[in-house]
Amino acid sequence: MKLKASRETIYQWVSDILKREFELTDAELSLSAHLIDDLDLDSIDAIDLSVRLEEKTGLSFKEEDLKSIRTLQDVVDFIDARLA
Amino acid sequence: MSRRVVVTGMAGISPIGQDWKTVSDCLRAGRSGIRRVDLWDDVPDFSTRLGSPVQDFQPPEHWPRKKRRAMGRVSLLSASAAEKALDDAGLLGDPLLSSGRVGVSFGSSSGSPPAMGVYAEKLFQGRTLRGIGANEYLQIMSHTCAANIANLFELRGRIVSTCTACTSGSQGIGFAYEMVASGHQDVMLGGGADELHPMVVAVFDILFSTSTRNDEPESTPRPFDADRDGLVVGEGAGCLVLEELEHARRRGAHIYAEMIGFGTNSDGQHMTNPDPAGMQAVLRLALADARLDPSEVDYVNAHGTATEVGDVAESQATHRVFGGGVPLSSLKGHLGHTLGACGALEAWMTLGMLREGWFAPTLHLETVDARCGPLDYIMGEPRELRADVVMSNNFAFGGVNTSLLFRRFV
Repeated sequence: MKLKASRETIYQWVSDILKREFELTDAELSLSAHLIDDLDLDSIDAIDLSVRLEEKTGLSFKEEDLKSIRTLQDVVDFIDARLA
Repeated sequence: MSRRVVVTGMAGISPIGQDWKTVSDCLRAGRSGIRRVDLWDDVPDFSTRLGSPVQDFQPPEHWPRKKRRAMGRVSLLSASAAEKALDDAGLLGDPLLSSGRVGVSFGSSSGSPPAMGVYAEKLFQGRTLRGIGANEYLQIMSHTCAANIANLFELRGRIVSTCTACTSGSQGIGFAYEMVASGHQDVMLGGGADELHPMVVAVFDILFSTSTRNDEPESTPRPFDADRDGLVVGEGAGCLVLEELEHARRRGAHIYAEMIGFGTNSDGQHMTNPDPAGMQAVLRLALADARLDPSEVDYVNAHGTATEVGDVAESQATHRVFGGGVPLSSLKGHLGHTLGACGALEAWMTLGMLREGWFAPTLHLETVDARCGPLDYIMGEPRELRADVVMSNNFAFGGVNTSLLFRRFV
């Protein structure tokens, strides 16, 4: 069964995980924030972020999906497109 | 080539304190870290309800998230002890650490059990990979403590993983000593750790090796005592900074003691039953390494876990090497059995007592088991003793034996 969620809700999920798992703050988070350059995430963090998002959304992230994601906006778009 | 090796830093995170003052107060006053713990209250099968936890441990907040994320509790304890030891040696933040001339030799009985639990729950039970992150393995892997220490302090020398259960810490120190003595490294961090977890307690409970004096944590474990009924599992981490003598002198380092000998061997007989012949041999290996006669050893810090077979085998082996005259005590009445940490914590504490000229008694030892070797057991009160040479012995499942020798540095 697919979840239904607005883009605002998806952003909230993602930002909650980023704050809880990666010790980021609201002030650092925005749709345009680049996961590596702005939020200082790396390859290990990308795996852990996808694991938590998979748990939240029921989606699966493939290696190429992770490579195409650069910003928080990309994360929201990715989830939004697959839940739609 | 054999170079002289000295101890220039030391620290521990133990059930009876995280600094020497607190620890020595407990050792002198006969206060132990043993208590009833509730970590496995929901598992009725356990015979023991006792443990020896590290109280109030908080990993330093200044460690960056990317350095902390691969650390389970066992690595957090290890890295914290290493940081204190480096600070004690005046090396924290020193560019020397990243020169390639500094390495780490460190071990634990296992990686962090809660991270193993993630794999057990998701993959073994649930037949899925979903929910398993990138860091669980990094917290489980056998060299998690050594690797996390190297990563945190940006060491670029050797990583030696001494994961041999209850000799992890003593082998950590022993192999660190050999790295420096041989010239492969100028400075080594040596030590060991373990974290208290029901899985680890279960190992000993299944073998009927745990103390079940659940209502009297203040009187158990009782190493060498006729009324002992087993060990109490503890946790912690200990770390020594071992450094080449001239290197230490050049930088004006404070020198606690010289490490003069190390022996390690294996029984090759049985995985859990100790062999007095192997124990005896390892003590002689350490003495030969230090070119010492047994009569030159002033104090022996025993493994003495308070198990029936272990205490008898160790004390008889010690007696065969030293005769009856050598003063001896085990610190496990105070600490419980901190497993991978014990060799390092006991070396730290033995050196602390050496410096101050006294040695703690074996806590709760009142009547020596008649089957134990006749030795000069320190009992009741601390013994004032100006020792020059001290030995610290540990023995592990798998038939692993170790013996460390240190000399007062003058």
